[in-house]
Amino acid sequence: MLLIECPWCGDRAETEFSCGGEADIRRPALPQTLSDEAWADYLFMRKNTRGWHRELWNHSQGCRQWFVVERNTLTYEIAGSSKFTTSSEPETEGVDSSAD
Amino acid sequence: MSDLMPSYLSKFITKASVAEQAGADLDIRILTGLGHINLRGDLASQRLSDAVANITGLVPPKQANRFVAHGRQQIYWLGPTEWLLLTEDVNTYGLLSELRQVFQGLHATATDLSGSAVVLEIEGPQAADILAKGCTLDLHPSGFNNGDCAQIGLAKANVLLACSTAEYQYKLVVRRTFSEYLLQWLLHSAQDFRVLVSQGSLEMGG
Repeated sequence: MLLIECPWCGDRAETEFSCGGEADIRRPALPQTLSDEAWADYLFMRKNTRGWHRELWNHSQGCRQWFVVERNTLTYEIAGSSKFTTSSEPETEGVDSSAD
Repeated sequence: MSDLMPSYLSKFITKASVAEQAGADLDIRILTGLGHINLRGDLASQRLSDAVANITGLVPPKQANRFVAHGRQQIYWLGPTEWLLLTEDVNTYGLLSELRQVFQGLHATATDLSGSAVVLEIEGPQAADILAKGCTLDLHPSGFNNGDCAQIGLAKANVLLACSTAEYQYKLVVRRTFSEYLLQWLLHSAQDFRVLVSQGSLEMGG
């Protein structure tokens, strides 16, 4: 079982979380201007990364918050997790990239 | 408020003759008929924090997974924008209207959830060991102590677990529909010990 670090609750068991797939997918600002291919690409196409991967997790049995986890899909190693930041709020808790 | 305890919970209460044989290893107290109010919004902000403190006498904890208690009211941190207010009185109308009045025009809300959950208090030297059989949270006092709370999966049921003043006292807030199952599970996990189940009231301090 994975031990996932929730940015609010700390290390918790994987069973408390649900995975939301690849992170950093931005919804197009004007979907109506996209071609069918570009829209389908946004909706369905994922990188399916082998190795280090940023993905979304939700602490569904805990604080019910979404956050980003950097996980190695090959070794299941987890490098760290981070909250989402808004433009007005500087990022304080970044992913620990030194563990790579 | 024994009239508010349904038969699927009251059937667990230890019979008087058995209760007289003192020296139980584990005390389980069932609390029903409490007021549960869910608070949403940025209660960590000074304005909302002060407003809630004026009404309840309690400052909503800013720190994650902590709770505060005063008299017959408690506030639990549930999420960065979510808190649970527990009160002794199931008649939450007055409290709700006061809260809604100060929340008016702000991005915050108070929702009455009374009756949706049952509170169980578990006390005894073995309490942590018994709870540990069903959850993955480290309950050692060095990590989970007085004033800490956590929403966890306990024997597959979603519960809010809180640790109180005494090292051995825990409080569980569980959905009403899961309460009978969870009590059965607790009694089964504790079958090596003498367990006393009784009716409790909200008076846990600190």
